[in-house]
Amino acid sequence: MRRSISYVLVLAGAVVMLLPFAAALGNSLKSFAQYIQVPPVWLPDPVQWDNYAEVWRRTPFGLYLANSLLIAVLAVAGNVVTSATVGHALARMRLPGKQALLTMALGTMMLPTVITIVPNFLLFRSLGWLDTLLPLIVPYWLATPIGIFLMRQTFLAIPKDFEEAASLDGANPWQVFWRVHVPLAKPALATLAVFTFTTSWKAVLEPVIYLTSPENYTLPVGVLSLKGQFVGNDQLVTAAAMMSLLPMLVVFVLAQRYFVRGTMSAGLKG
Amino acid sequence: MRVRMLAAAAAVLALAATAACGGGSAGDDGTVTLRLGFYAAAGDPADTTMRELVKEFSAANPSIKVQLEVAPYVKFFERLRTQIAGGQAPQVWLSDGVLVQEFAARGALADLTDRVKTVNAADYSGIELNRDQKGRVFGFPQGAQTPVLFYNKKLFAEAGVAEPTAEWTYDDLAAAAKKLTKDTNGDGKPDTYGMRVYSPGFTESWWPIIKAFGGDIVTDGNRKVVVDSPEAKAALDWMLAAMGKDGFAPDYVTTEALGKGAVHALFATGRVAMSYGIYARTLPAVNAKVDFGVAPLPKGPKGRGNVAIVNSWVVSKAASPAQADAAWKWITYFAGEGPQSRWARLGEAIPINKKAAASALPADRGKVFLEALDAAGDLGTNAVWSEYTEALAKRVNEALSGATPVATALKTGQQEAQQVIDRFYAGQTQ
Repeated sequence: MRRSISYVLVLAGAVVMLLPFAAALGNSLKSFAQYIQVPPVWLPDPVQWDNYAEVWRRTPFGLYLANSLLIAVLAVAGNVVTSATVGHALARMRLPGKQALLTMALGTMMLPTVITIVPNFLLFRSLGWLDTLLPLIVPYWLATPIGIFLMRQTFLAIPKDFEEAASLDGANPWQVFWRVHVPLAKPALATLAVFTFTTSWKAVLEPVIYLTSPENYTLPVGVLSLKGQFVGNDQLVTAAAMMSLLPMLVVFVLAQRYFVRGTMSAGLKG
Repeated sequence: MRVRMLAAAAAVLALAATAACGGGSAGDDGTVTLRLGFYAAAGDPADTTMRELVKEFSAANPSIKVQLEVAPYVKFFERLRTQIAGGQAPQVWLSDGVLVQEFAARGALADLTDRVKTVNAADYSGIELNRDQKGRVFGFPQGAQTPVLFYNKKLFAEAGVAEPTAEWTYDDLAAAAKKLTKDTNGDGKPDTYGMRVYSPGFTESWWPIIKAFGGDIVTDGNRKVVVDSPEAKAALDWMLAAMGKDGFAPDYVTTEALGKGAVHALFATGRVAMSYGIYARTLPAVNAKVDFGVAPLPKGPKGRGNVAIVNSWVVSKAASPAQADAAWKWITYFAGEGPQSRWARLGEAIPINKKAAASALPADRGKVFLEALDAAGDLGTNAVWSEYTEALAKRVNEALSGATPVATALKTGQQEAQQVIDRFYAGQTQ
């Protein structure tokens, strides 16, 4: 009985969570006239599959997809490597002032992006990086505060016995990190990879500010570029948004096992 | 293996770095590079037409190399503000008319006053709406918007109500709107309303209504907020009655929930028989195949309260003399009868070239819009227009939602909007 109630509650929760997604899917298949209908209708009639084709006709959607993928993959690679090394150093190495360094890194998380966007714009301008993909990739190669924090906590949770046993076998600090600690931190690394991928994938403000040439646009900027000031293209914007969701879903499904284990272990550190 | 991976990563980064870098301002061969910014949705007719016009302009001016920077409206201005702060603004861009003074007051725009003197001002609409207190002009009109009364001919015919005329008063409008309000399914709530009065976009709502009732929003070079007046209160009371006891307009919550752009769906979908709308609102109505007409705004105790927004080309102060010349060449090219007529066919804006306006606008609607434009004042533009109107609109909306008494809302709104203006202009010499 208790189990049935649980299932019903979980199912109800799932329906509530999926409802906006279903509404968006329905909207992506409506005509504009149906999209703006008051009161709104749930089911598209007739179903406008052509909205999806129209997105591809109006924009170089494949190019936007390729740009987003390139940025996301390089961001993930960069952030996982650098955050893991920095996190490991802060957790395992004897460094003067490491607590202060960690506090400073975490402190930057409190700054909203809009505060730092102009200084960053000036920095990237002086580097000649405006209207290139570099401002969207390189910051991830310098370790992110959330990545540093996650990896530090993960490495702190690994018992010292592993490290001591490896050292007795002649392993140097790099080998301890690479051969002992990194394999044990796989769930956290997968979690960080998914977080980084989704953060990079859905970023809007930075690409809008830094990119001016359509050939450099990322997927969210490309999706938004369909939005008219006076003419409603909302059904096309929604169709484009639905398509841009797919790669994120694939990444999540592939990394789900590690991701769930990673988030759970982060919360259960003893 | 590790070396190969590093090399591959370096190659990918180099590829990302070299992707479409911007060009310089002037070449040795005398060519001028002009970065031109404008807002449009990708693939929309406006986007396509602008690109065609740029192509034709470039063909006629081979020494000017135009680089387009396009983004949808909101994102365009988000990026532009950062670009201005970073000294990277395009040399010429299309500005929303209400933002020209904001950019000018922050030193981002070149003064076009002397250049404007070289054209025959009588050929164009809207130049004077861009003139600031000192008589300077920082933007040259690209297209104009002014609200008029849209009405659904079919709904008027079905209700047996005579169509609006230029002689209509607010009482006539209310009387017709009541007759047009219908509850066809008997659920106690109207399915069709006579009029939409509230909109989150105040240009088509409380701003012209307050002016028509004899009130004003800002005076003294748009630096003194004067909305706290008995006339403005009468205007808002009229709107509240329309949404409340008279019941001929959808209530505040229903309208607000639709958002700034979608509120015009009410007219396009036949939920309201009348609505104030700028020229661009013809697009959704035409797309939805509504049989509609337009009429002048009704007369209030003190006129019609016509207002206009003149979207304008502006030139960056940071542009080199050669770039500024090239920018002006583009601006005058776009203001020509040919490009303006092409732009008019999009149905987005009233052409600012009077010849193009006379010939290219639909005959049945053109006259009403052009007369409204001729009679229009500006929309209270100043250097902090976005901020002070936001402060004021917040309080007016509280009144229209019934959350705050009208008198209190107007008093508070006036104080808060004035504070925003005073804060900016305190100590400024201009």
